[in-house]
Amino acid sequence: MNLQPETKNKQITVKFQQSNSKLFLVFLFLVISYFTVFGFGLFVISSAQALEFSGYYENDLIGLVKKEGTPGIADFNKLRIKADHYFTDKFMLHVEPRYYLLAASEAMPLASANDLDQLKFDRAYFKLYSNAANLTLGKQRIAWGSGYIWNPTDIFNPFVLAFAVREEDTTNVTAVRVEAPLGEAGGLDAYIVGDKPWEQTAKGLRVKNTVGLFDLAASYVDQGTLGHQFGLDVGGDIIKDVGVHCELALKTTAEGGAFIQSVWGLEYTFDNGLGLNIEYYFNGRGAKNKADYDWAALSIGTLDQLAADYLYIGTTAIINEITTFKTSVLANLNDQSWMFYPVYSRNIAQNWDLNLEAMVLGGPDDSEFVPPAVWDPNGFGRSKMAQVKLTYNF
Amino acid sequence: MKYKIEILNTKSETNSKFQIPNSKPSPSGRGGMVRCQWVRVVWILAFLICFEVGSLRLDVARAAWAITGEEIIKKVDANMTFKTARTEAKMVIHVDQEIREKTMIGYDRGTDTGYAEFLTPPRDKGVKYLKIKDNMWMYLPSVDKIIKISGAMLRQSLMGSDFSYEDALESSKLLEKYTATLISEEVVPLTFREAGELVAKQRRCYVVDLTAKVKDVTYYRRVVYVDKELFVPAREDLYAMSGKKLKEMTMGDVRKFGARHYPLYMTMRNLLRANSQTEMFTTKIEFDVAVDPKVFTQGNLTK
Repeated sequence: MNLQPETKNKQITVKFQQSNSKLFLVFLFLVISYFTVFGFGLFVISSAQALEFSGYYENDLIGLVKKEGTPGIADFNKLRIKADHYFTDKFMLHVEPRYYLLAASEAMPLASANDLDQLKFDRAYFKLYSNAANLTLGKQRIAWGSGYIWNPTDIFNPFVLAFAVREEDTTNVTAVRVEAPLGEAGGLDAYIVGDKPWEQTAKGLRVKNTVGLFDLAASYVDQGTLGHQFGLDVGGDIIKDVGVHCELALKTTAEGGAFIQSVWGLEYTFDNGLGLNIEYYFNGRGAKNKADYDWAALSIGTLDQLAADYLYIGTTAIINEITTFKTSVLANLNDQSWMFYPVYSRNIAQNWDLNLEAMVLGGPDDSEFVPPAVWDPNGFGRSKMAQVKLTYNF
Repeated sequence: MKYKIEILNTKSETNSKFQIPNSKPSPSGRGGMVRCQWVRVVWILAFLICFEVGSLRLDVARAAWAITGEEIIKKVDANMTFKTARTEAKMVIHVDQEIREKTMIGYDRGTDTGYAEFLTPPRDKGVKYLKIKDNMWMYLPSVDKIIKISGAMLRQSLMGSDFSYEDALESSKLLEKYTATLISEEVVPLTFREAGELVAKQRRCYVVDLTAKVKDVTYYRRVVYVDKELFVPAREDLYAMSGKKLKEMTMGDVRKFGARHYPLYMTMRNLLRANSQTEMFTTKIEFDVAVDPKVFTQGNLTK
């Protein structure tokens, strides 16, 4: 194709302009890339500064004598890191990876001995703060109720041996949670568990406030196909130095039935500093006669406690500012079986803690803490266990 | 109280002088009677002199104390209270030869609202406290839960220190629960910072006895030593109803902030425990700063 010189010049000009545009675009791309990389680098550096680490390493040396007299030893290592990253003042990420390693000669009755020898994220969530509400999204701990051992209004951890189990080892759930303050001491707390279809998932709402010296809360949980739960919990002082708490849950079942679970607690500290904590638990789903125990439901986890009536008595003696001695007795009032758990704790150095713990189980045969052999293949019933726990906090 | 003890001692001495001659009459008969009468006269004179001197001293003391115990406590409150404050502090706990340190930040509003957050050590990091009037809550990050500190827990140790939760709660409103009586004056050491160094000075203090007028108090009696000039408490002894001394608190590192004098150092000894003492160093303090009211809410505990 022959072109006139003018046209040719125009084309050259256009080409030149096009190439200029391309050059400009390339330049712009480089500039943006440079600032993006530079900005990202700055962000990473500043983010790294905002990253906060803490955690602990714990070593448990355990000795156990089972019901039939078989001895066993174990070494349980726990490493947990808690990392908080603040993207802004109002937006953060919390992750809690942990690695547990157990070397044992025999099976051990350890509540936290799950998912061993692998990296697990017990908690991993984003949290967004605003004046109106806090939003938490991800795997988190949702703890409701005022009870110490039993929390019937808490569907995730209704029964925890709080004197023996670290809070970090309790069940966490993947959920969306909104906490909205209502005044100075009141608030609204709502969650939706996110790992099941909508019809099956749990949805909870709790409203709390303070009246005089009492904290009051009312809650409702729709457990999807598992039924509904209406809860009430109260904590405060009736008279000087006597603290009381009460937690009540009315639960319906998928089959259309209903039952009540309640906790009644009292705390008192004597003049010499000795603390006393008593809790009575009524389990409307439990049986008063051990012949009626639903061992199958307990073994698959749809039931937390077998009997109807329980009592917990705990004492805390503060020997000095760094040394405490605690005893806990958990008794099944229906079958007279019991658990005794003394703990001696000493903060041996600024970041080092030493715990000496023991667990003794007793009671009549075929009772909750001395189960029938078929439900206790490892022979934990009537066993005796002692632990030396050494923890380094960082 | 000290003055009364002096009188009693005087009586006691004179009584004993009087009784000894009577109980063992002189074997010399009449001479003994005369001596006995003289002793009586001397005793009566001594009693009158003591009484007069005592009355005189009492009047002088009353004249010197142109202030009541209640007024002293009110002046201390005026000096020690503020609209708002932001503090950074270090708590040092001594047990035998062991030392534990904790650091914290705190916000206070008036006398009955406060917030504190522990920053170190790692095991206590993120533990927060909120006090609103007579209620106190603790937030434990490991549980992600707010726990109400009820009456029974209030007597227990605050973060392993010699302070109890109740010490933190009962710091105000003393006159609502106690009757204040000025009982004496004493010279008590009080430290001041001069050229960067802490210097102990012997300061004349009012000794004010605070006796409970209501039943629901942890310490039935408090004896407060208040600097006469600065109206800063230099020392406080805390007693049970039985009269047993439970705790000893001292203050120091008194500094001037505007018109107010404020102690930045405090010690507490729980006498029920052997060889323990907690020191509290206020490393930074700002008075009457703007504090977001949301700081003093339970919502802030979970942040």
